[in-house]
Amino acid sequence: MTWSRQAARGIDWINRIAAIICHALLVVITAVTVLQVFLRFVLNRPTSWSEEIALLCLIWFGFLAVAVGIRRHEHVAITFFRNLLPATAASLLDYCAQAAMAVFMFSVLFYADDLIALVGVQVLPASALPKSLLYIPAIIGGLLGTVNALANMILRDIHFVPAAILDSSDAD
Amino acid sequence: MQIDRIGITLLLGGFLGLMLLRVPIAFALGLSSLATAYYLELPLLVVAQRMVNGLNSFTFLAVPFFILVGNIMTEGGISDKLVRLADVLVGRMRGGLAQGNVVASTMFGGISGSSVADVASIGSFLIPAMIRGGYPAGYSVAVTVTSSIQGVLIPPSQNMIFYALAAGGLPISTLFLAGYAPGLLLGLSLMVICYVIARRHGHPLGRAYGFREGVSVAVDAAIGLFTIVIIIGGILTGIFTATESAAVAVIYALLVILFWYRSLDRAATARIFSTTLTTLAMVTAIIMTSSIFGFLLSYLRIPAVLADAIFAISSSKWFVLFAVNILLLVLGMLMDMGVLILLLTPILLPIVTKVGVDPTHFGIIMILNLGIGLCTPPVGTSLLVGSGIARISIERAASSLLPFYLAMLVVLLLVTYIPAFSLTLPSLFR
Repeated sequence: MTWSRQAARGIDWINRIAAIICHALLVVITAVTVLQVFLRFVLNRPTSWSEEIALLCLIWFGFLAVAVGIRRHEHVAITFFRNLLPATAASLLDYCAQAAMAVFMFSVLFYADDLIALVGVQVLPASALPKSLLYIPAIIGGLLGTVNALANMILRDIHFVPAAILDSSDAD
Repeated sequence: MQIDRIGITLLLGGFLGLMLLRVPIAFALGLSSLATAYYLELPLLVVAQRMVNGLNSFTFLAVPFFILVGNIMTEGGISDKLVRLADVLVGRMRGGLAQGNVVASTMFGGISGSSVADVASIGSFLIPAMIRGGYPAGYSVAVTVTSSIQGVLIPPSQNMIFYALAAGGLPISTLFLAGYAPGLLLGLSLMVICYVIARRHGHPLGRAYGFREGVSVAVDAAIGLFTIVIIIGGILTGIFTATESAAVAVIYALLVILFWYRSLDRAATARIFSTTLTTLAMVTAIIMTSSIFGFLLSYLRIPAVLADAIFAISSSKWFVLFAVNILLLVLGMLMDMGVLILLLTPILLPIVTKVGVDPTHFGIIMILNLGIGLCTPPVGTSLLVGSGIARISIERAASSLLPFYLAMLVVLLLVTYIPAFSLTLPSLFR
């Protein structure tokens, strides 16, 4: 089954790139917000564009993170009833959950396109960036999310995490 | 008033059905909204638009920063330092480790707003230490899990940000201040229980610290705890907004673990980024899809329908608060706190304000109530993590939790029916 190993590697590579972009966006968001405080508080020069840029980055971050989270099985689900079922039925539910995510992310991708057409050439008030930048991440995230959910099904990688466990126990 | 029963069934029933069939909660919200919007013949681009709108809020931006501060400080070993400080402060009491557990959680609550993070980090030190020290495993988990609920009440707390957003822009500073007294009341009541149980079962004393050692432990912890001064001080003096102060606290936390705790290397940086991304992937997904869901809830006038149903029974303040608390307790056992705050605030807040409940007061009731849900089976994230650390079954941990459930319910009743617990401190700063 080398084709599936290769496909998995490709998908994971794309997701790693997306995760690195997310990390970078987080750094930018923090930097811009601190800069905003510095400019207003220290140099007494309040900015209007900084909030807009920080939020734009947050929206890009959000859609990418949600999509990456699908591949990495990070979205919380209630598995209480699933675990009461026999193994076959339980894994059937796991597949259905992936299918559900694929359908939703595809709809986001599909209708975000209409939204971009609708906002046309409008610009954001403070930074004068095109308003469509707010909705492009919905297309990219929708696409990556759909691909990830389909890949999970094809690669039979439907392993789930029982709950949100923030594993910070390895510190010190 | 025209009620669209099919629409309401589709939205709520679809959501519950999908969620119980193990579709991740964020996507259960999204898909049921999508189906309902299709049925209502709304233009479906509203879905993507609402998702973007949900994130497009400068107030929400504080949440990633709070999560970052918590993760950075965890890498810096803050939980270890707080545990030692708590041991210095209360370790000589009977059952000192249990008391220290409560005190450490109180302080940790000021750094991280997440009770699950509290259990994971403080619990990973204290649960094994308590078991080694001769405390029963179930009791050790029970103390850790219940005291972690202070984390959601004592500011900074991301759940309060969710509430402020869902309530349509309540001032964060008021909510933050309102959380202190109920959080400390909860901690105090847990310490009383621990004391009584320690007396009855003859739990051991902690070790004594010398003065010098005590001071050095305190200084080490205080450097980390200074983030509280930045965040709360910044907000109260009006120098920063909550979001700005959280961003400044991120930089401060980085400097502290870089130069003082000296634990920031490549691996630590990678762990900070990856745990933050994991948590935020979950949080942003739920924020985005609950924004569509919330829009449809009000479009279908579900808050008004529920209000009519409750007021048909009685419109006394006492009864309405009681009914709402029961509803929250039941739902809190099944679902996680953040989602419930985002979904239920727009529904419940108009009902309780109609009978004269202050929105800030209600926020504290809701957060405390849903906090109890974090330590109850079948879906109690903190309980799950705590039993995982001690390697005991959830049932066994839950049976040791019985006296603590009682204490939390008493605190909930006090906080619900005596608004002064929540509202006195904010009124002093007005």
